[in-house]
Amino acid sequence: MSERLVERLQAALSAEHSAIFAYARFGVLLDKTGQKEARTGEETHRTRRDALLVQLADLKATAPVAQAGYALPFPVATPADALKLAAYVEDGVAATWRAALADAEGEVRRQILLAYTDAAVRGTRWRKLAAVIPATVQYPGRKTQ
Amino acid sequence: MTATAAATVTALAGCDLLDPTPDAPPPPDALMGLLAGTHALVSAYDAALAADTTLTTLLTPLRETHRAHAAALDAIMSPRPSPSAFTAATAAPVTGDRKAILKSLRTAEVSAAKQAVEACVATTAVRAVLVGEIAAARATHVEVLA
Repeated sequence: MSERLVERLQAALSAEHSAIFAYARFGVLLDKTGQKEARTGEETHRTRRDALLVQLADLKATAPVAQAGYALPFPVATPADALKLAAYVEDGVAATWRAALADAEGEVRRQILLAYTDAAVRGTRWRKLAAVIPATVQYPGRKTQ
Repeated sequence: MTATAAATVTALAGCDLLDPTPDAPPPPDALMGLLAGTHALVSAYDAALAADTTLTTLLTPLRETHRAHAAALDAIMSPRPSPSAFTAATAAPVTGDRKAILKSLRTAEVSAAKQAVEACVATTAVRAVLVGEIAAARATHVEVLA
């Protein structure tokens, strides 16, 4: 596995750490449907984090640790803020996984694509819950579009 | 023909200096199937939009995404597909109510997303991001059509 791919996986782990932190912050502001979705999302990010920890350990690569706290990109005080942050977080996670696609091959690329797609779909689901139209983007995770 | 001349002909042919089929077209690009599937999706959305105008807000952005993907694929393929290659790709007229139309599109997107996943895994590093983006976008379409 290339050094570049290891760096991409380390970046993905950092993104998963921050997503887990954010879910804990915004989840409590959501309604019942949103909270259920948030629990599922947080669980998925924990699963991805754990898989990355194992993968990086197998590669004898350093695994970034979670920070005690992360600065939120905007104030989050209402359910609408929470939905906006949820989509923002998933878009960020999607971007990180997307960036790893070109550095992987075969089944590793498939695993990265799965994580990327999962975040893209969840970001779309959050925009749908927030009644954002359209809820989709042409190129998920791409910064300029 | 002298023995020397015969030997020369054999040597030239053996070195592929004389191409036996100079007009043979190059093989189609490996992403041709993905591009054809993208055009088929555009046609399916065209038919759905013609059948039910109340779906315009929901379906138009999805169709435009597929159009953008077709243009992006077209731009990187070698040889470039003929502009007329997909003009005949018209979907059958859509029948049924709104629910049936959305279900049909959803089924098409699920299948198309799987096709894009396999294309992403098989393609080159240079193309992996674009094809991966297409796979992820199709999966997000399934989400909004649910």
